[in-house]
Amino acid sequence: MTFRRMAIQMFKANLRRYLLFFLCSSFTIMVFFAFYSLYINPDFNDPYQVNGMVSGNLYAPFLVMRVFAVLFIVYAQMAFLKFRKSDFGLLMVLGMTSHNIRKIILLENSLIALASILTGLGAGAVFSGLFFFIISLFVNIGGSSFSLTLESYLYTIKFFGIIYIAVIGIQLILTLRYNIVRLLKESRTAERSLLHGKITGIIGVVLLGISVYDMITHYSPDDARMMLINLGVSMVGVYLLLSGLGDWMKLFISRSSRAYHKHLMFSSDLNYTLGRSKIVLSLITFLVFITISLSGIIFYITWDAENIPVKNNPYDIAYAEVFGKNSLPSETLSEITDHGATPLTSHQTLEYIDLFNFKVFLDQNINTLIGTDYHVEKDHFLNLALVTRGEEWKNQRPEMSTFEMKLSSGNHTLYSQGLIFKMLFNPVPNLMNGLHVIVNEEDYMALKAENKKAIGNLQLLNFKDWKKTADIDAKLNAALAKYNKDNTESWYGNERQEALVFSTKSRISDYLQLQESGRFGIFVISFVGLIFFGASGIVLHFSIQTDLERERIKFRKLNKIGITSKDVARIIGGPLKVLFFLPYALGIALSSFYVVSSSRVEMSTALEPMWFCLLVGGAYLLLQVHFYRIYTKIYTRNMLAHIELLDVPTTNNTRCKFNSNYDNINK
Amino acid sequence: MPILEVENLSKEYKGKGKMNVFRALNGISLSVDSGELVAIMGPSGSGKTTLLNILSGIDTEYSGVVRIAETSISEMSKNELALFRRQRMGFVFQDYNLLDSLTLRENIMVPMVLDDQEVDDINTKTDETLLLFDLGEVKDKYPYMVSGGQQQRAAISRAIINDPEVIFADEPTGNLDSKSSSIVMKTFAKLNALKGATIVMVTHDPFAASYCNRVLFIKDGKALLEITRDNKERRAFFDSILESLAFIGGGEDDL
Repeated sequence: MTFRRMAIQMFKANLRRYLLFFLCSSFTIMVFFAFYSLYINPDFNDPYQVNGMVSGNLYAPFLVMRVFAVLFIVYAQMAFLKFRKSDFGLLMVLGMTSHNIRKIILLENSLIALASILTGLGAGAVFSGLFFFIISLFVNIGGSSFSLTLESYLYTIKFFGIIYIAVIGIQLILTLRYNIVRLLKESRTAERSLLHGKITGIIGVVLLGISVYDMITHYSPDDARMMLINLGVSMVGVYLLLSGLGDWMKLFISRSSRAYHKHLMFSSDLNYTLGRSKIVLSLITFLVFITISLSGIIFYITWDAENIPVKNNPYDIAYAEVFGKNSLPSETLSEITDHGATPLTSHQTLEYIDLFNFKVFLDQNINTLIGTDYHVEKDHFLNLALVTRGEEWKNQRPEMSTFEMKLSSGNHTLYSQGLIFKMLFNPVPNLMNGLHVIVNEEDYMALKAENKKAIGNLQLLNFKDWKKTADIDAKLNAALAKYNKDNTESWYGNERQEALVFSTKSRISDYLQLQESGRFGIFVISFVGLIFFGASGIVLHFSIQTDLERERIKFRKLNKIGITSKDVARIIGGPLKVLFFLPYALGIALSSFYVVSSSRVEMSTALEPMWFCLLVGGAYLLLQVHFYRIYTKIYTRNMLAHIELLDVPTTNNTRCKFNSNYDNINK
Repeated sequence: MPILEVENLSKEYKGKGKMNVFRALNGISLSVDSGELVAIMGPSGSGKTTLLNILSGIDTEYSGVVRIAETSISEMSKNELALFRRQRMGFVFQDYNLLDSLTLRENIMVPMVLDDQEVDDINTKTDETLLLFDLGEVKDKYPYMVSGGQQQRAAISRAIINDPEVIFADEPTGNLDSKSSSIVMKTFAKLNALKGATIVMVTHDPFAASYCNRVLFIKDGKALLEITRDNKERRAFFDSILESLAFIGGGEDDL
């Protein structure tokens, strides 16, 4: 038998073992491919066809998907190698060299990688079509059509190719450290790690404390780097906490003599289980954390879809007429507003001067319109920030200290009198491309006299029931677009861009967009969440399987002493409970904290998003409880069958008819 | 008074095909009195370990009757047997059967812990046993940190922690050097003499068997011969055992 033939024979014999790894990898590649195809679909990213909030909702899940793909493939490959290590030990005893082992690793893993990528791409091509179709049921994707580009294939091949090459490379380098005795014991020994003990646990808690403190005091919605570093510190903290938790729990249990005896088996198993599974547990904590955070936020936003447009738009519909644009005749406007589903209750106008980079308002005009009491001193101005966010947001918005008024008589400098944070009126698109300042009458008049063409009017309309204004808003936008096309020069040379810039800003369109993006977001995140749930189950399964032989030996020993099936179930259940639920508890706690501390700043609310996190967390926990029960039942049953403790119904007094074969002789 | 009674015990292993049947035990009957120290000897494949596994309730697929302290274990469910085994029998194995993740002291208390007994009772009993077998110095060490002899003494301690009616030992000296074997057998003899423990032991080792009161020889699943020590010196009994082994035959390896 040649070496190549033997390697192939071994590969065939292990086919069932490979199957799970192969399926997992292919599935990951398939989903990744589907996400990426949608992510780069030109139609889907066209803001004129698909609501930008919808396509934007794919960014975070896809980012997480990428991180997940890396972690999952690396973990699956490593777990697979661990299964094979004891075989390698035996082969080396029989005289196989490390060089031969490296050849086997290279051959087996390359085959799995190649097969997974090909299958993943093939299945992905079919699945992405289905994915696109399902999405089209949830959201209005306009005229978008499904397309697969060469880029999707190339990117997926490149992405996973690099991961596989890196993992296989590392595995090959690690073979240099192979030692026959260690390899033979591999399946029975825990991964040796320097990171264990009570001090490691304390360092983990300290790191978590630091990131909590940092998040509370320094969180900024614009500072993605701070957030990433903070998350990284948290995850390292979780890993170290898990590394030291076993020792702490053992100490805690041993403090009470009764607990020590009661949990003798549990505490020794737990220390081992936690020590061996900390990478798996950290990975699951991360997946649960991401899923729950994203779901919590998306559910909250969708739930809050009625309030957010109201907060963002003080008026039901608004548009700005300036530079001849949007100067809709009052008859046309009345024609639309008088024949809508809901009557017009008020129509107000706010004058301003559009200096491109600056939009200048008069304090008295604003006071008259809104009932405020702003009083700007001569040679001064007020910065106006049109935001709905809370006090915490203030630090994020710098105050402009001076404002140069360019007049024919020369520049006139105004000094800041302060900063106003308030959504005074709807942030109409063509009003938002500049900073807003409020000045006093004298300065305003001086500017107005020299910028007559730049005088704009903000039209602010209120209706009896804003939820019935969808038709009015649509007609108004159509009328504005038509007016601009018929009566003005195009600014952008692009009809759709023109229509977008000079469109209205209304509660109803925000509401409809939020609802649509929420539906899409919920679909995507539920999909990703289910994938993560499945993945965490598979990772747990790998981890438990790696340890199966050791557990079998333990239960064979206990069975010889005398152990009932109830005892077996109890002893199995203890550490499995920790494996199944500890990462969920950590993930839920972390996601609740991060969502609360970020939404406190970004949305001025903390409690409601937290409730949604807990709700989603609860739902996942419920799923996990079912998974735990089914898994433990099957695992216990298999273990009982293995140690022959399953009671087989007997038909007569003799028992010799069951399960007897020559294998038993060898026991 | 017999503590262990076996009547017409048979055990078959079935392979593929109707004719492919191997009879490991062939209608064996025996009786062990309370306080006896009995060895079962025989060549490889004679059915020694099969017999011990059935007597101790580990193997439940057989025909015939096994009674321990007048209770028939043949009728018990596997869970009832497990409890019976834990509470009324003790076991010593060739490979010690200690749990690697527990210290020697913890290993010894496992049967009582599984029985959810009182904490004070567990501690008192464990400490007494540790003292009896001179394991005080190594009690907090893990099995892989101590010698085979110490591991086997810990296993014997565990076997007697619940004051069993009968102790079964499967090749208890099989993995030990002669010095450790001698210590372990003296421990059994001491248990038998001081506490009146009933011990049934399967062994290949004539030296170990010479510590017993009675030796039963089996071959091909049948009881062939039985010799008793009576008032003989251990050396003389050892010679009788060797003679009997020569008489019943068996591979040189078994001696």
